[in-house]
Amino acid sequence: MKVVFESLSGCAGCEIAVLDLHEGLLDLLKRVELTYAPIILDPRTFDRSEIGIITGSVRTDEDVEKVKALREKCTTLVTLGSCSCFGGVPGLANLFSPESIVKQSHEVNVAPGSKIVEKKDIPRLEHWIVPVDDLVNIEAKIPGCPPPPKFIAEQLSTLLNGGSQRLSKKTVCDECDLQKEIKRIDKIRRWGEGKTDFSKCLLEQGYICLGIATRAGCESRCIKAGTPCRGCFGPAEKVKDAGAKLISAIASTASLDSPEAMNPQQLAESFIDVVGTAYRFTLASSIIRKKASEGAAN
Amino acid sequence: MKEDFEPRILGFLCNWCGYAGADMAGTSRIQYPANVRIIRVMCSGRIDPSMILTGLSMGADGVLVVGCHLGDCHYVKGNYRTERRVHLLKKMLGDMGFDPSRLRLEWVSASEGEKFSQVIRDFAEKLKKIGPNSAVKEMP
Repeated sequence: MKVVFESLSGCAGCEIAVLDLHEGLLDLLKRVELTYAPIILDPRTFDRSEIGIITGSVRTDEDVEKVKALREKCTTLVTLGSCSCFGGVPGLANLFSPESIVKQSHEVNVAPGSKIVEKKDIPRLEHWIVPVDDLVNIEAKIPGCPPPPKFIAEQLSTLLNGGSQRLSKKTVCDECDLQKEIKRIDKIRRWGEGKTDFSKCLLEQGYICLGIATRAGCESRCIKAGTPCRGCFGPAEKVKDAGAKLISAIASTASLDSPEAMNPQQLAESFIDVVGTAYRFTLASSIIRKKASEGAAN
Repeated sequence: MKEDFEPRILGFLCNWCGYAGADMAGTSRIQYPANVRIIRVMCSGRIDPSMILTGLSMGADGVLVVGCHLGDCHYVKGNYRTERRVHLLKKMLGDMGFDPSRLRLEWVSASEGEKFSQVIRDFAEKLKKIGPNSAVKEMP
């Protein structure tokens, strides 16, 4: 069975996650023939294949072409990683125009001594980032930033066996081992502020943890590593918009007894970078997926 | 063009106060502009932020959330939660490039038909100044 990888604009972390299967990769390679994978292998072209795996975000017009070409040549199309599934971190660039992004990275933040290269024959930036399934039909999504190697192996073997994909219907909170009591936030704390108790639910201590709105499957790896969930697995089952759900949950859990959380204005002010936190990986696939350009904004 | 622009307001009214207030405005024959499309919900605390965002993404020029006065909620604390939700959402809408005043929260009791009509008049007037919701055209 032939498998191809296509890399769009991304960090190559997902390919590394596949390589991180280590010996498990040998088992996988017994069953499949990897014919094309720009980050991993040399070949520059590919023929018809059974499984096509897309990583990275659809940032440029070249990426759009790549996705369409892959759809034509592959029977089963899989998006690997949060970028191709939901837009990922690059999706947050939807809050800016392509012109301002180019200006910022090539004219404002220029390293000393470097010259601006004449922009010729390079792919044009798309107006905004969209998840791959907005462009073409896909058969399966393997979310995560990057997806845990074990999770990739499980999902791929389901697909290789001809089965259809099943993602967990639970949330990260269901898999999290931290002690949960009554969810009542007195105060929103930024990560690193105050003393953190790593045996208790982080949200209860006022740290914004996206576990409540995020699909399970990662075995709460970030929380085990001592940091709140950032939501890379995307919205939980039947949740369309993870950010809206998070906001709703924060408002519901804000204590009505403490004088500090009592003040809604203060609650909103203490939540720094609402969009960047609530939609870190999913802005491009949420309800409002792009910055509205209103003159009267703010 | 702005002269003949009639904003479309999506109104979420709670069953016990806001909707009864709108009813009162109706039975008292109080006139108010026909810009508002009313959806009755059991409690303003039931309104998920995704409903408001969906409304804005589908072309509503403004979203109005009406609940009971603080302390009067039929479900005791529902409207306190709404207040927090709306404040957070307003901040988020600002970050997303919307004019935050497109979202408005008001407390109207069942007897305040006059206040309800005043709110609609005032909101429609303000939205006329802000102009049409441009986001919907740009949305893929």
